[in-house]
Amino acid sequence: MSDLITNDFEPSSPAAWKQKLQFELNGAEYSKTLLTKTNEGITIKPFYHLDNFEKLDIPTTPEAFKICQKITITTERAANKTAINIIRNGANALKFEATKPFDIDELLRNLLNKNIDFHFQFTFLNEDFINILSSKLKDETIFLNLDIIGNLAQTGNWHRTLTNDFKVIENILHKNNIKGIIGINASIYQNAGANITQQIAYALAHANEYLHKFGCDFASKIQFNFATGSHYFFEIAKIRAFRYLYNLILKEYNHKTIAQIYSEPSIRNKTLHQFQVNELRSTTENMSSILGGANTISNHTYNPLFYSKNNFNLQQLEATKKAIQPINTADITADSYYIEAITKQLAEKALVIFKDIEKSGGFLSQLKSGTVQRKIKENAQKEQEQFKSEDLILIGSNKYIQKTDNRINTLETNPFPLKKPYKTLIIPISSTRLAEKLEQKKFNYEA
Amino acid sequence: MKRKDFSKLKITVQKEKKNYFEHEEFIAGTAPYLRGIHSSMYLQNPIKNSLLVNLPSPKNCNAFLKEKISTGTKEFHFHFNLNIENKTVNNGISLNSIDDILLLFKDVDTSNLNITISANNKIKTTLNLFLKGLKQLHISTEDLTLNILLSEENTVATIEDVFNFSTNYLPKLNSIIILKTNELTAEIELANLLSTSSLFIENNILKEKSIDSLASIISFNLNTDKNHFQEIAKMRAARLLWAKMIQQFNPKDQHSLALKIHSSTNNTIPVLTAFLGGSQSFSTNKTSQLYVEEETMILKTVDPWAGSNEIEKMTFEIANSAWFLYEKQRNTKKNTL
Repeated sequence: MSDLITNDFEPSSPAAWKQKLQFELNGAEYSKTLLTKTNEGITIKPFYHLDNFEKLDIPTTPEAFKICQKITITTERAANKTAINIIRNGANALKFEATKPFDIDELLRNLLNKNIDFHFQFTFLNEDFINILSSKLKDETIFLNLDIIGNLAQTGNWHRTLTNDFKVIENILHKNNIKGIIGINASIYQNAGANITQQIAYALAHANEYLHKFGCDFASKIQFNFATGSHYFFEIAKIRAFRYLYNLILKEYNHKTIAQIYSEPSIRNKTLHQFQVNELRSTTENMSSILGGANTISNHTYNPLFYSKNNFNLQQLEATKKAIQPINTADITADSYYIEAITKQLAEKALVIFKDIEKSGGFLSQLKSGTVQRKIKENAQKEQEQFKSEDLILIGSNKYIQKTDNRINTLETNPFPLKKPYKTLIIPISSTRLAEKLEQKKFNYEA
Repeated sequence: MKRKDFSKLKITVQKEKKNYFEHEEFIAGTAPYLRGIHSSMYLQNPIKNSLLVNLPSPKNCNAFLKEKISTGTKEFHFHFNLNIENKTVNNGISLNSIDDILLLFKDVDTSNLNITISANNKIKTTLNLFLKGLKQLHISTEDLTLNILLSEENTVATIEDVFNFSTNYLPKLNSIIILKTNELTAEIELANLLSTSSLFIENNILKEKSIDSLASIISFNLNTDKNHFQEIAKMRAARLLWAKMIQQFNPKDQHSLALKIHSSTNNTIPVLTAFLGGSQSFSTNKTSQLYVEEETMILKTVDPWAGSNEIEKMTFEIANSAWFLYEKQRNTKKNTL
């Protein structure tokens, strides 16, 4: 290596840096001014340095990420039209959300053999329908995202019963040789207010219930669905720490794989007021997921809180892709002192939670006892307090509020859907936006 | 099946980086400032964001200005379009005569404003009109912090012109921000900025100006709109090379070795780039800035991408090539003298 560039200056040590920081504080308190404590219990230091360098060996994939768009099926025809339009605009993955079985041919007309990944999200579990769907799509890359445990966590009930649900999944697993049958819906936890270590640990424990039941041969047929928040570097580290831990756990099953990860921006921090900021939020959120190494990035519809569901916005993801190409994202994040340090810290802390859950009988048992729900609620409430005291800021909502915000008059969908109570087996984990209560108050006032 | 016992699971840590570069031993706040010009960067030194004022009508700009000052904005970037000769360009405040400056600043409370001035053309004529207008309005330039952003293609002559003008008329000039537009690569952009500024410095040292007074007034306007990571590496390399270049003139003040970087941009990703590269100022949309500052937490640690294989490699490569090109340019110029 040539030292031509560096030869005019002496190297400096981290100790010298720290001393300089202290000297320049001018009486201010070091910890208050320069240290940042996060809800994960991690302290962000003012600098990270080559000395004390540590990293984990993160399994990564060299494949480029896929750009996905979600489509809610109202009618097959409308959804198909939207899908074709989206593909023309550059997406190479689609995610269809359905509440009942649909006409497969009608939905996928002119969409097959085009190198598109198909993701699905069903609110129902229908073995026959799924078998037909996967046989019709046997030459395509598909992710069914079946998740009976996620469904239990989110709705509070099994589709039918524990035994029946597991039996259906088992049958489907044995009958179909496709890439993604199970999809761990870890976005539930993020959107309900779990912190990043909790999200990692719950995703792992959630997945381990399937591994425990069906064995490790299915480990590579699991896709992990994450919601990504705006804490830029921690979100990058979240995906990396998760990948590391997933393989660490699989080692106990004598197996290894590169986890398949799907990511979309969080709903939790999106706001009705100053809606333009939601765009900025999802831009950096998508960027975090790309840099973290997610395989599929799905953007929200233009503005998920405002518009009816099938508006789409791919330009932003395209611009992001352009801005960071042609760089290999794994080489960008690898060996960054800061990212490596927080990846390790997140992994350590998440592993502790995971072990605790396993020790107490596993994720299902912790869901039944309400422990997971209680822990998420504790963190969610903490965040809500921080939002109230402006320690957690959402631009335009609790700070930098604009006087006129007439967007409120043009809502296409109700941003405060009524949550009807119904009978549940366990306490459901529901998503809550931080600004929701505040907006409801203002909304009544403005309306 | 019995549940697996995970209680003995352990994380395995590796201590070795894939690559090492000597420049990784440099810290922020100390020359050559590769990782930033302040030891705590944005934790204690907020970025300066000038609000762009570029509506064609001076009267509309006046209303805009008053409204923004009333809500506490102190930093403005005025972009002028000298219409006397150029009637085709629509971007910028039309400036036909001194009356336009009078209209622009009519009843404006200018105390403690930080003003950046740029123009599509004829920066010196623009500055002349600007100063005459202020004088008629009895506004003292002593109360203003002024920066001049050279938006036309800068030659040493332009910089000297503006520098001489400001030495005579603008005793409180804070910075002359120079740029090289449309350069093919980051290396060429940096090499050209370095050779232009070093020639400017050499010429003025001959006129018995001190290196510290010269070095402290120049800052670079770097493009952040192209490739996110390359621009971050470029800013780090720029600081290193600036320090290396200024060091040759033996400055007395260490701060002369610290390069201030300005970036102008309008989108979210370039705003991220500006922060992650360690800029001191930009002209951009306020919402993007607030979002990045308040919600992404990227300002909580200095130079967060340091160590990254790709960023350090690019920093090294850009710095080496740019320095090589810069020396070549200097030698060519010396030989032709």
